[in-house]
Amino acid sequence: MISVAKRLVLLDPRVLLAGTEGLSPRLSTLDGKTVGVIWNSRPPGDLIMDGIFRILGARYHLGEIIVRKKPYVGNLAPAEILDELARKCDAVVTGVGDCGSCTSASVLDAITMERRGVPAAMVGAERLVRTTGRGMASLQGIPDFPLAVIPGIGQMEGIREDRDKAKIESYAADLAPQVESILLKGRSS
Amino acid sequence: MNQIDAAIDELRGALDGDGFDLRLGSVEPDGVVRVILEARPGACLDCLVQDEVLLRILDDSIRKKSPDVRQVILEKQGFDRQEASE
Repeated sequence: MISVAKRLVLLDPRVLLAGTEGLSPRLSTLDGKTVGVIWNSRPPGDLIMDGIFRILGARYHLGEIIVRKKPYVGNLAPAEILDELARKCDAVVTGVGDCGSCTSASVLDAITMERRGVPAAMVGAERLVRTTGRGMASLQGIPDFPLAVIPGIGQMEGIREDRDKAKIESYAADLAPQVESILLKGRSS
Repeated sequence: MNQIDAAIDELRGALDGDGFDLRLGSVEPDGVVRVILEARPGACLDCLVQDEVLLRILDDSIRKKSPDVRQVILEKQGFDRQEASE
């Protein structure tokens, strides 16, 4: 006689993919994906973002990268930028946070995109991300929101493209795997 | 270093690079803690995190280490001087 289980356990794969409460569903791959960048306009964040996508581009066949620059570092990105990237992108990267206001605002950019259903990774300097960035995440009700950090550093003022190329590349190398993990798994490592 | 100072310390390091000093002002017997945020000459006012976020961070980290604290108040100093020089 065939016995039939009286209770069925249903697994919802979306829960596993989301990883952290409050996040939108994760991507299964970055291949072919359009990725938006909300750059907070602070140098050398643009160069670090370039480096991140160079590294990810060697691992995946990325689609278009759409970069938008915020007019002011300390506020949420303007509605037209958020609307456009929510419409066009499969994922978004925000940052690079290396001051108090720009870090918290970049976290808010990322959380706003998540709430619009777009997986988002915020990147920044560890000393700021762990304090003002985490403070904003907590204020938004997602204290464990995954954030990508450049270990051991604070403000990057004074870093120049011509003189500090190796440093910029090493920052991008630190961040790229964390960005990948946040977008695919919902955690930074 | 006491517990409240230790709680302020991590945030102090983060704000220092933008030109701000963060220090303990006073601890009142009724559980009110005053924290002073001072803008040094040349501080980057645009870089300063919003008051609401700053207070949330301070409140969370101070209460975690000193659960008896009832309220955290942030007092700003040196900001008039900064705004006048802009």
